[in-house]
Amino acid sequence: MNGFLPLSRRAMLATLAGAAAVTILPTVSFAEDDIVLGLVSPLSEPGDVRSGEAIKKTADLWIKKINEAGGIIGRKVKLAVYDDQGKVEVGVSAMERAVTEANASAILGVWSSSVTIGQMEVAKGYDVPLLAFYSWSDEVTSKNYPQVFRIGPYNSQIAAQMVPFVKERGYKKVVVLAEDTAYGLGFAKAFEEAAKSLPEVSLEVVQFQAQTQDLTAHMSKIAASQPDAVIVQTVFAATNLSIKQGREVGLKAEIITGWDWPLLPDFWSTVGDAGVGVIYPTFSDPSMTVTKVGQDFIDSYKAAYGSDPAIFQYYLWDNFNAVKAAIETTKSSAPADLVKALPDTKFEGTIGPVFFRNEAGTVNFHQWDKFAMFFKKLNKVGDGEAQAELVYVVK
Amino acid sequence: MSAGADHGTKPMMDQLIVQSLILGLLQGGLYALLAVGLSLVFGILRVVNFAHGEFAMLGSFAAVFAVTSFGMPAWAALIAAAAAGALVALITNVVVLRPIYLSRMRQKGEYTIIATFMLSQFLIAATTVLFGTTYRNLPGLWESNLNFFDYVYLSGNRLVAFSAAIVMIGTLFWIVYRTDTGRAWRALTQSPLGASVVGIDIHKYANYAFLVSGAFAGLAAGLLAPLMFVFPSSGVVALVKAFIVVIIGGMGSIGGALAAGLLLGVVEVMGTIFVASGYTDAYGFALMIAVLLLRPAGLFGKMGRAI
Repeated sequence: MNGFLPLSRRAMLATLAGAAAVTILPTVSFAEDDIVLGLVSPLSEPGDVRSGEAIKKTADLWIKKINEAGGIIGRKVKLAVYDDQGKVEVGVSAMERAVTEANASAILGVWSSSVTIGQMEVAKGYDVPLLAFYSWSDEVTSKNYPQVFRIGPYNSQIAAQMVPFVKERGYKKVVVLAEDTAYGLGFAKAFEEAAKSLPEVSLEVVQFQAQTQDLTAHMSKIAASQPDAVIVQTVFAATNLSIKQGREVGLKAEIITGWDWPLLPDFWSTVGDAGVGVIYPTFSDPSMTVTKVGQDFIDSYKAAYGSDPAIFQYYLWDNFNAVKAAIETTKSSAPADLVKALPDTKFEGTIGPVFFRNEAGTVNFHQWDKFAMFFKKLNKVGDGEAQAELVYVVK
Repeated sequence: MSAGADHGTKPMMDQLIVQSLILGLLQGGLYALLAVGLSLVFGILRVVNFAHGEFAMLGSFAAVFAVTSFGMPAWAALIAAAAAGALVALITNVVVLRPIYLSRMRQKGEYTIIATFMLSQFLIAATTVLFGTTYRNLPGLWESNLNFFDYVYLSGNRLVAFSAAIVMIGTLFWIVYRTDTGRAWRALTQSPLGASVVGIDIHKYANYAFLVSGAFAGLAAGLLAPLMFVFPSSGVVALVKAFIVVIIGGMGSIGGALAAGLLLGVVEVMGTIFVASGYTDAYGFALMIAVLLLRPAGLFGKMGRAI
């Protein structure tokens, strides 16, 4: 006997599996008086983890600051975090667990439109508020679910704002390269509709599978049609790949990204020279008005993480503050009470006053949309937001 | 349609056909390189290795770190990728798989599938935790976009990757059919018991098979990394493609893997460009189903085991 207990392979594997299960399963025990908010976000692959990590950071910071300030209506606030993996079925199940296990008063942090649309049914079934911020599909609010709110942009509005930009640039042939998700195809459909006001512009939609890692065939097809511009609507690896591989197969058109992913830290290191000339739309610019709430968020975020938050994190911050305002109004954290209070909630957001448009039967139902859209061009390798050239503004 | 437009469309279509054919073949060569390791291990040990894609992924991470952390040149990064893939494959064989395929349990095949699938998930999760989810790029050996007479456009790295893939697969042919190691492997495919009776060390040659399989996966990933990106789940798609190639080519057939890889690459690219762009993966699956219906053992497979 050497002093150690003999440990069989089976016992060791069982122990490791048990330890892993304990580590993986979310902690759902909260003090009875705590207000619990559910954060359901893409925190692992194949979800958009880059964005999921930014969401989690924002949420953690908000919770910390709120609790340091004494909580909401004198109660501490806790976050119940669930990973949706960017999959509809996982996101729906995660949301159900956030509601039933953690008794979350509201669900925030949802990201992919396809997942959000699935989760909306859970919100409706349990009468729990679901707040979206960067799930761009029109369906999120056009379905007019009483429980669903969005502080952030949506596809048809963005598409409509791209039309004057396309006209101003003088493009005659435009290709939309769209991933096969509610977000990608939703934008393509909305842009086709909006571009009808430009009969001189010929438009083609090229669809691709969202998780693809090779777009050379798609880009070859696009390059052969010799468009003036390609608008790329995607979230995953195809973001940067489309640019790199497009140039690889001789695409000469201007590339317009569907959102401001060129500001993500991996853009220049992966795209290199191919990123020069790329135009990206964004909702933020140094000229944008930031409120006291917004400045406090920016300063706190910089202090906590050493970098500036992206614009979608502003909207998420406003999402959290919307829930806070509703709780303070109703003096209740009961989900059904918040569903009733949120449509009339008004508060100072990060870039201006936030209130919901409540136009039943339209996409502008439980929707805040007071933002400007800036188109910026990257003129040299390494350009960031500060160096990018502002080429067009839609207000 | 105007006459001018008609004159312009046909040459463009010809150009697109040539471009897509070349792209498909180049892509197919890499699919084949990814698949031969999988095929080799299946042929010799009947292990269906679901962690093969993660051997590739870890190889590509090793290549990235070789360049970014140690300042190695691109060619050395490929060696690092192959070495990392080989090392992880060897450890997997010794720690995870050998106890299963040498055991007396029934359903060994099923257990190896479960074990390698779990290992694959573990490696993706561990890599995510350790290195994050940022997309990383690896400089290639030929960082140029080539333009042949304004007719065919390719990246230099894609040509390098294809050439290396063909050389590596040729080398594997040579090993299998011209060396003692290859002869031992072929003996093992016919009868592991008979092979051990005549003095072939099963452990040793199984280890060799995994080393080669992992090295090929790592090298393929290192060659692909400058064309695509490196991230924790990058091996998932690679594994799916490798499986399709192995099934089409015939389980355990190296020549079949090469032919099937090229065929898959061409079918995917042509389908995407000329049929519908949103179903790239579906073309591969359709091809696989057609082959399974018409020739269940694969195009070059035999009903028994072989390499």
